Amino acid sequence: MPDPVIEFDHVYKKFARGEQHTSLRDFIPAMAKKLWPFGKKQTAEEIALKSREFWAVQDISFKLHKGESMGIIGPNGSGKSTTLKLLSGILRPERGTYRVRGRLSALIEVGAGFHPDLTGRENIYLNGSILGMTRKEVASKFNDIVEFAGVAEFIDTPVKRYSSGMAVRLGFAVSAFIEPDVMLVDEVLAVGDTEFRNRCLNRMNKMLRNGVTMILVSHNLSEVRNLCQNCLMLYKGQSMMQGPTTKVIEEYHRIVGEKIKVEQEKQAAIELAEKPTIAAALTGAQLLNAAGEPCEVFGTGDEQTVRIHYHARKRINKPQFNVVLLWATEDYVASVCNTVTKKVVLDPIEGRGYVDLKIHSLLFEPNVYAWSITISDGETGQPIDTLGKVRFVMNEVVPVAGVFGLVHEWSQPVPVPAPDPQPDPALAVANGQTTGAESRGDARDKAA
Amino acid sequence: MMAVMGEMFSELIRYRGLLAMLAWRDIRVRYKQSLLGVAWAFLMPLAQTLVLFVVFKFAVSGGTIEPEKYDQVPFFLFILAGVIPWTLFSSILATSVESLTRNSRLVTKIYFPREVFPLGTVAGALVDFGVSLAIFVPVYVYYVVTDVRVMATGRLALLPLVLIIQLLLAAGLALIVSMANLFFRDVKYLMTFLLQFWFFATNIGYQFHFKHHPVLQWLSRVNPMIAILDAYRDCLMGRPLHDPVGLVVAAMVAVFVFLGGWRVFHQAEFKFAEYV
Repeated sequence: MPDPVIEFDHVYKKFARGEQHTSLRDFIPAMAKKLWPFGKKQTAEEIALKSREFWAVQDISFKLHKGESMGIIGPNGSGKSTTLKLLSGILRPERGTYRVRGRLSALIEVGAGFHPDLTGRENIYLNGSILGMTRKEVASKFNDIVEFAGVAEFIDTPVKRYSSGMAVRLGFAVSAFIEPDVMLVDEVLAVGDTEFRNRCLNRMNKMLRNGVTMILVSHNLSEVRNLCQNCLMLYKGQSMMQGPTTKVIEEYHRIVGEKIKVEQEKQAAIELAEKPTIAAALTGAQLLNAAGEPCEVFGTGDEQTVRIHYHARKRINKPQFNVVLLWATEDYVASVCNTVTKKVVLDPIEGRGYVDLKIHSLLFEPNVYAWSITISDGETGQPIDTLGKVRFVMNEVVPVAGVFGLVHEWSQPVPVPAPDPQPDPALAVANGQTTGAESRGDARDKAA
Repeated sequence: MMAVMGEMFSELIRYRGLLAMLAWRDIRVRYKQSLLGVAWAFLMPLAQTLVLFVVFKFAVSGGTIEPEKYDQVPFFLFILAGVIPWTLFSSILATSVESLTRNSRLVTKIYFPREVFPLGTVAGALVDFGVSLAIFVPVYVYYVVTDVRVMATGRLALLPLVLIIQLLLAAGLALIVSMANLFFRDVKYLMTFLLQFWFFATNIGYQFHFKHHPVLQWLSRVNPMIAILDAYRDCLMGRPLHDPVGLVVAAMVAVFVFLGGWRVFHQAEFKFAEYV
């Protein structure tokens, strides 16, 4: 077997919390010591953590051979981006060695090198050379880049007049046409519309087929699943699990679910303490499974009950609830359940109690989701209290191909009598059972 | 040590395209949406020369200039030959000091030798310098034709050497101040003051006569710009250098500042992304 293209061998990297070097008095001797070329190497104790320091990456090892791809997943602050920065040479590890063979290209922030005053054309050349392409290489790919970004009309307009979507597309397009041996991708596909995202995914798939070695950092687990055979899960700088992507993602959901449970309980206690004066406070929300037990991890197709606990200090005659499902790092609204649009009139509330919202079937792609709950007074129309981010995890029990599953069923084949001499075109449409899918199709548009 | 220097050079050569691109970007952006565009590159030193000319001729010297006080160089030529190299020097320092912090997004996101930022400002300032020669060359030719003291001789060939010394000095300082400002943002404020001080400590609008004062003469060695401007003027006048020792010292200082500054910069480089 040939040498691995990427080798990461027991790498450690530490960061300091808070402001760094608040005084020149500490800094100058420290710097002088480091720069003194004849000093001895730092010993293990000197590398050990000081009081304000923490390991951003701790004892991480992995190997990738040519054409392999690995995803890195984990919650925010787990060391994913630091790992990429170590690989690309921006940061240097305290301990451990790493090695990258071949030309490396990092898709870490698209359009980082854009200058707003320069035109699209000028920025393509500038960004190309920042990413390590020669002028000639950029020139030979120029038309492809422009076409991919879809900005041909505006190529001689300064980038500051671009819409943010156009700028991002152009940024990705430049990066997509480098021909590296190793590609590092950090969360770049979180931008752009669905159509463009798909184009990017196709492009990355094509690069993989052409033998590029890729490391992908993403919160979008379906992206990781689509692009990577292997996966590394990080938590607080440590490797939690490494292996085939589906296995790792399953484990990730389980761990995240446990973490959410602890957090949620802590949060509920805090919120309760902070709300002594609100007329009708939302004191907490529980997620229950079909058996009525509290649960944080749900499988595809499962039933879920959102139990909303309230404490009405005075009588609310027309209580209304609006419950929003947030998706993908909680930036997008995936769906909304509202008592008003559902034309449900709730009885007056007073004192403590709860309301149940039952979801018959959760058919989303595996990911972390959150509910955001608002109670309003129907008489004044004013919102009274909001409970944010009640999180849960969707685990993949039945694979969901795509973003959403649809509630569906198949019939057995139904024989049709021999065709008439003149077929009725209306019949063909009527046969294509589309009714049930339409409303779900709308929900999917909203989510995207 | 030599191996490290060799690696530094070869890496920089590999990224020369990027260095050129960044210099080009700075120039392009500087004159975009401006009416006069690149003309500013020679209008600024010209305006400064006129101000200094008026101030020193009328306000300081009362309307008469004694040629011996200016080493027999025609007064206008004396100032212009000081202002143009000084503008090159000071604009390198003034723009390089923020060259890393202004590009902090690139510093934290993408890897390439960070030297390209301060050295890119050197290249950018050099282009402006080239443009400003458009005003200098006609003025010089005018003096060569009309003033017998000014002679264009083979000594003009020394000018590029003096320019290289000046550029090494400026580039070394650019590397140091850009790095210093990344760690401590105070440096850019200090820079404004330092450049003002340095301007007055350099023989731009007047000539120093240190010869009779041993302490001052030693001080003149501390500021390599004095010997550099003297050398420019001597070459332009077509006469031997009157302070060759000063120029050799300046050259040594420049080489030391450049190599030392670069080496320190290179050592600290991998800390930039954490501290910027």
